[in-house]
Amino acid sequence: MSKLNRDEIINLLLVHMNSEIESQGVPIKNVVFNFTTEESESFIADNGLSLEDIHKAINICISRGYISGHKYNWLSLTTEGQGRAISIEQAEFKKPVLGSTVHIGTLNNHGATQIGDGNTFNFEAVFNEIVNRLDSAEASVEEIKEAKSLLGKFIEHPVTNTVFGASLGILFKQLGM
Amino acid sequence: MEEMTTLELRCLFCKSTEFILPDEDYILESGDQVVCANCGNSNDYDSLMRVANEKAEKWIEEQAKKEFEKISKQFERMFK
Repeated sequence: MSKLNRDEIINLLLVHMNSEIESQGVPIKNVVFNFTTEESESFIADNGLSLEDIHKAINICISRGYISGHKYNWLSLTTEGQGRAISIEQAEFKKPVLGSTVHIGTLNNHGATQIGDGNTFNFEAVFNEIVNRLDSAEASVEEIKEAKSLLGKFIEHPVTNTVFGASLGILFKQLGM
Repeated sequence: MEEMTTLELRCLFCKSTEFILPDEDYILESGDQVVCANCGNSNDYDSLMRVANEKAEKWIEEQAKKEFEKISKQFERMFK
């Protein structure tokens, strides 16, 4: 049995997985790990660990959400697991923010936060403009209502609604539906 | 559909929401390390935000699905 304690083994495991992923330059979900034999990952022997140690650590990591997948040959690192690995590595050379006084509390985000990547804010802006122009168009109330209804049917179509995805609710609201 | 939710930043080691800061209004920046008040481990702030953003994305997706199902049912009733 290794002389390292449980948390140290977990840290070693997560740092190893993150290093492998970063060396390949791919997202965390694109790399799977195999820990079924001692030969499958050289770091087990390099750190004087046994397969039993690693499997116990993996079980804990899966239950805590650091690793996901099928024990023990199809495992992936999660965002939380990667975060812990990065924190461990950074702690070695970066000092944490501390002052002469100490305040203990929760962290609040003070700035704008981008959620997601490649999201559909552009669709909302375009449709907002279209709806505004329809509302101010020189046409009868009935004609404007008909135009909006046709737009609604366009969004509702099975092909187009997969394009708009999560923005659908917002777009329907803009059309007053 | 819920319009708002609150996500807490949690220590990557022990899940605590309490961190040690120089003062109450201290604003963290990208690249900062912040110490957990419970376990004493140093957390990478960018990683804390990445985890929170991932949770936020999942929450938004769930709300959008609920809203879409609601609207789909409304349309089914309208066009019957």
